[in-house]
Amino acid sequence: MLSSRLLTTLCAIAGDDGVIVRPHELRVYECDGYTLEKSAPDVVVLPRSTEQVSQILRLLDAEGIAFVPRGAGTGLSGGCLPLDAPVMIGTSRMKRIRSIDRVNRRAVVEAGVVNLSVSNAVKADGLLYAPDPSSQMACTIGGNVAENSGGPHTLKYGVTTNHVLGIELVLPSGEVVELGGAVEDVPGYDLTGLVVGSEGTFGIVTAATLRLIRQPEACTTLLAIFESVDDATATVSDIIAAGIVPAAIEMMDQLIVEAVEAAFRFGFPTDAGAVLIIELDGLAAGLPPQAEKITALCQTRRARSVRVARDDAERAALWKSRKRAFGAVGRLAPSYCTQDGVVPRTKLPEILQRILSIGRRYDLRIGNVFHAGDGNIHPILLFDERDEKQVERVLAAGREILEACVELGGSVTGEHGIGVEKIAQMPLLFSPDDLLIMSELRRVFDPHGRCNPGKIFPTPGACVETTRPHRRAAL
Amino acid sequence: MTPQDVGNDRSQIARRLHDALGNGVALYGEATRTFAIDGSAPAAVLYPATVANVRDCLAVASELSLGVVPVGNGTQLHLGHAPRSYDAALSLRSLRRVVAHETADMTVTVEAGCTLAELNARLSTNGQWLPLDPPCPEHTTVGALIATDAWGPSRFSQGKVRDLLIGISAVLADGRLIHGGGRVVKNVAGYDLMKLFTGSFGTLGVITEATFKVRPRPQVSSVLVCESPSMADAVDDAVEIIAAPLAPLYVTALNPTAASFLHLPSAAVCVGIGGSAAEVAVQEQRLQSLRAERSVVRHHGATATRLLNGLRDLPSYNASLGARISLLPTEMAALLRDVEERTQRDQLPTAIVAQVGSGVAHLRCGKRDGDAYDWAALGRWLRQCVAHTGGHVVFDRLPPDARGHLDPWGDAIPGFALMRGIKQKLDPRGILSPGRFVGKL
Repeated sequence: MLSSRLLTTLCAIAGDDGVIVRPHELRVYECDGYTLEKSAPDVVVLPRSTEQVSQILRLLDAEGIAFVPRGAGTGLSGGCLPLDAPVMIGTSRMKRIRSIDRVNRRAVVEAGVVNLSVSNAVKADGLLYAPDPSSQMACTIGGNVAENSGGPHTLKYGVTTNHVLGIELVLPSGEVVELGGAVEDVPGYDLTGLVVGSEGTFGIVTAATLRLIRQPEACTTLLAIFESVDDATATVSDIIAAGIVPAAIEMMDQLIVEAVEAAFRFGFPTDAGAVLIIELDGLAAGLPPQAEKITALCQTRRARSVRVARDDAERAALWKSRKRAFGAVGRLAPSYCTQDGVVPRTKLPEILQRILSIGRRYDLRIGNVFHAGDGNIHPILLFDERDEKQVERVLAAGREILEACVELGGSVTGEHGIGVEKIAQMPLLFSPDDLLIMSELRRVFDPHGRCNPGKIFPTPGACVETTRPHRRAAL
Repeated sequence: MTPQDVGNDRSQIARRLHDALGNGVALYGEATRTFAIDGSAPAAVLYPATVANVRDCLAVASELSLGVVPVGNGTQLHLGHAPRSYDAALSLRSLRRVVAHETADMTVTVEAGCTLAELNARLSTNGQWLPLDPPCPEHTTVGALIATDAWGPSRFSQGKVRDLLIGISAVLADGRLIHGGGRVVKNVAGYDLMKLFTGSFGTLGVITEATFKVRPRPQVSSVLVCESPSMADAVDDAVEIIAAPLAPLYVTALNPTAASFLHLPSAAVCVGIGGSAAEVAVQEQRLQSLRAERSVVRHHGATATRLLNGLRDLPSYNASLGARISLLPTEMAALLRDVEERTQRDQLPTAIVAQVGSGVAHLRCGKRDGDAYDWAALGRWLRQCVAHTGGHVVFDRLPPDARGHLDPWGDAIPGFALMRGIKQKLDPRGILSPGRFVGKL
């Protein structure tokens, strides 16, 4: 238990309204989007400034107390699950856009700024912030930086790390460091690049300098309907191999299409095996030939139909369907678990076959909605979390899917992070020496292991009580 | 040549390397001059032929606490501090295989000793390229490309190493082999060691293998040269072109001296256009009408290639003082005007190449005839002016008498304590490129 003296000091720093201790209020913070494990912190602190974060971390450092950072809690790998960390520090009240430099195309925003509001703030200037996770209406820049978030349009534009130029980081000691910045090519190691995607284990990112890009001059969105998943995934490989780099290629299989259609009534055919949403953008002059080429490639793979979104409204409706597909799945089952794996793009047909047979073997319904152009799959496993047996089957099936991804030359996470969910899979990708070096790097930033403990790395010695023993792997 | 022929002071080291590694891996004596840094050559040059060899070399070096500088062809040895100790250059040139080019996945895995030109020749057979265009691709190895974070004009549209590198293998100072990333284009498993090694200047480990995303080569490309009255005007013009509805590969401004190296008559902005025939045509047309008042000359085919190669190589031209200036694009015109004024007053022939959209300019200052010149004072002045705008300067060429007075990387590097911590974890004995990098890490 935390001492009342500590709580009083936290209140003095963050204000009474910035400290949450009531159990029913703490329940909100017991998990993120990965709901298979839950653990509420003893206290949640919601600082308003970098200075307050620094004061809090100095205090915790002096007391030897571990903490966990949290953005909007939309993460999907349990990255902000409090494990052996009684204090949670939420950045949701740090939501100031500090500056926008339209000519140099930079913005400095605080960690709690919602992803979409960055693009909204520069929309009128013809600019945008490229990374667009499906949760972009809720997720924060701080969380995006922690997870190195992606999104549909990263196929062409890259993920978070390609758009973060600098970071304001509060180290677990409370020291504030500025890494990188608006001017590029800062001499020294690329610590900004190292911090992005470190899943909140190096300290608390309180602000980031973002690169803004220009809105594309034109945009063509195609919807291709296929009889089978195989045909759709083979088409994805064909498009990439033809040397076309669309802004996005997204796939939804029949199960997902049914759920999305029930929720949004876009007009998808619910009897089709799979649909592809393919978006091209760039100079208007370049798009028609590419669209023709893609249409031809779809037809070669027996597409039932290929049509172009008529106008912005139809395009927006298409994207809304895609981005809210996860939510729509809620209609199909009481619970669902979104997996996140990657395979080389040419292996998509193979991995989807494997997922199908894994689903059959474990008697689970699995839907697929994913960033096909990147080879980044998101099988959604449907279940009822009240049924312990089903939960076990979901976990086992998820593990098998990830193992299959690795076997096919891929990775266990493309954009959701390792968090607590995939710790056991780290040794599939990395040798003991790799993991040891990464742990050593962590200690440079956090020598006492008090910042977001229990994440990313298998720690055989950790004395944490866990409901899911699978995440403690042997090194 | 055997270790016995080497001068007495270093024969001991050479003999021990020879005993441990045998013939065929190491060269001694005259051959080591190629890799001299600041005039001093290493006792031996090691050419490991396998990753196991690299590990052996470093295990021996670590045991003997030898200073080792990882190199490719030695194109960047003029950059950075002289090493604190320099017993061996470790060249990856014998490890040069393209391990896997997955054409349909658009990824390539390559050993560190392969040059960028060799790699791109291989990729071009499938209409692809690794879209990096630093100076001298025929000598720049993949390892050097990553370790020195080399880039060229196309970074404006294609990004840098950090945007393309998706997997890395490196041997640490103690001989351990480590990996980061993988072979897929999207991957967030584990810390991003690719970012850590990019630009780490051989101080953290010896890069042995890398995997990159590759891109389709533009079907058609051209260079449009827009003449400008002065360098500052060229920068302003470049800013305007960047804001226009175009998607150029690069927008490079040249001062008159730099332009003259490329046989151009005046200060100019060179705009690289690439893509499908339709995309190129519409952009050329738009640029012509944007600049209706002034001359725009369109180059294609062999002349365009020659121009681009010139733009690419200019920053590597030898110079008495060479600087890379980073600052915000909007600060560039005023700063470069001051630089031109000062170098003209001091009668220093100076070429300036500015990648305006990326906010980086290269400065090559030539010799003054006759009397002595205080290069260190010029360097300090430049650094001060740039720091005033929030930017920074790296000196990649310095005359011998200025070296003691100017830190090539600059002082007060933000986050330096963390960098030192990382160096200590990965190379606790400090044997890799010792003292070469920022803060003499």
